[in-house]
Amino acid sequence: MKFGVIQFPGSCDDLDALNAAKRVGDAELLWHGERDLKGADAIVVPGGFSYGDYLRAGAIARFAPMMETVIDFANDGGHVLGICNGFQVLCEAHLLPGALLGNANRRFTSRQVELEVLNSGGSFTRACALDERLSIPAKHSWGRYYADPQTLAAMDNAGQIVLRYAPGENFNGSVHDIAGVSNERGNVFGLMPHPEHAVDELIGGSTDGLKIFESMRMTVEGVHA
Amino acid sequence: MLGWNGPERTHDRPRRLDHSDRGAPSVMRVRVLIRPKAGILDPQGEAVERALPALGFDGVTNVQVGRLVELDIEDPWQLESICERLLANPLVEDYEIVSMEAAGKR
Repeated sequence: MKFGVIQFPGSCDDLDALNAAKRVGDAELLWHGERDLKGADAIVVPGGFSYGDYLRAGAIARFAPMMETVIDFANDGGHVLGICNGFQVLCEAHLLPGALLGNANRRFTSRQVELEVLNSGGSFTRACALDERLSIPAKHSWGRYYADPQTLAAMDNAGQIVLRYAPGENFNGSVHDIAGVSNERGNVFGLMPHPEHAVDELIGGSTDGLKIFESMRMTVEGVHA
Repeated sequence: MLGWNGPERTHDRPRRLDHSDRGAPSVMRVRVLIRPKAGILDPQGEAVERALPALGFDGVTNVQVGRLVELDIEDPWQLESICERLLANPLVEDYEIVSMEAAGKR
């Protein structure tokens, strides 16, 4: 399978995402100003500060030409992963419910976090076990997930709350300790922590992030765990 | 929610592009205030509120930090859509048109 990794002005985790994707399949960068997915079977919207995060994180990036293609791709059932700034972009594009707000601690925070897998049946976590813990770095100042109570209840019922910060790990103040969510259809997924930074034991001591990319490969290739 | 129902109704229709022989279209100078929705934690507001007593300013509460967007616009009827689609995120922010007046000459 082939991953397409979008590159915005201000992306900074695009090459790590490309590296992570290449460990499970083919991968190519997609420039934000173009519209061609170049045959990608799944899309990664990477972390960084697209368009300088002007106005609100992700608010400008969602109108990039490539994002218009990605929105159509997602609406047709294509698989889209948003990491950190990519998660913010997908929320701003209304491909995912809710919004990301400034951390409750008002600080940029960079640390390893423990996550719990609440839904291992989805397209992005099928290589994980239910309740499995993933150790993945997070680094952001704008990662407090918020959705209104009615939306949260519907998401919970539909299994859209895919990853949660383990007890004591919710440093940004996200509602219900939510770390990663999917859309109702399950083909779009966003999370604030960075699975692409946890793919090599030598760097960071965890390869748990690979499971997200491996899950996407299994999904696209029709492999079942 | 602090929405906006169009320009102040001093006429049946808002001022549109002025095609009279006076020349340039009438452009409005607009200020849009965007704030965190009530009930949503505003860490910036809290930080400011906590900093004030250290400077000797007591009795200041309910500090909110938002942003102000100023723009010149030819067709004010576009404002609501502009605010909803780009300037504010209606899920977490309220917006309010705080002033609108004829734009001055540049």
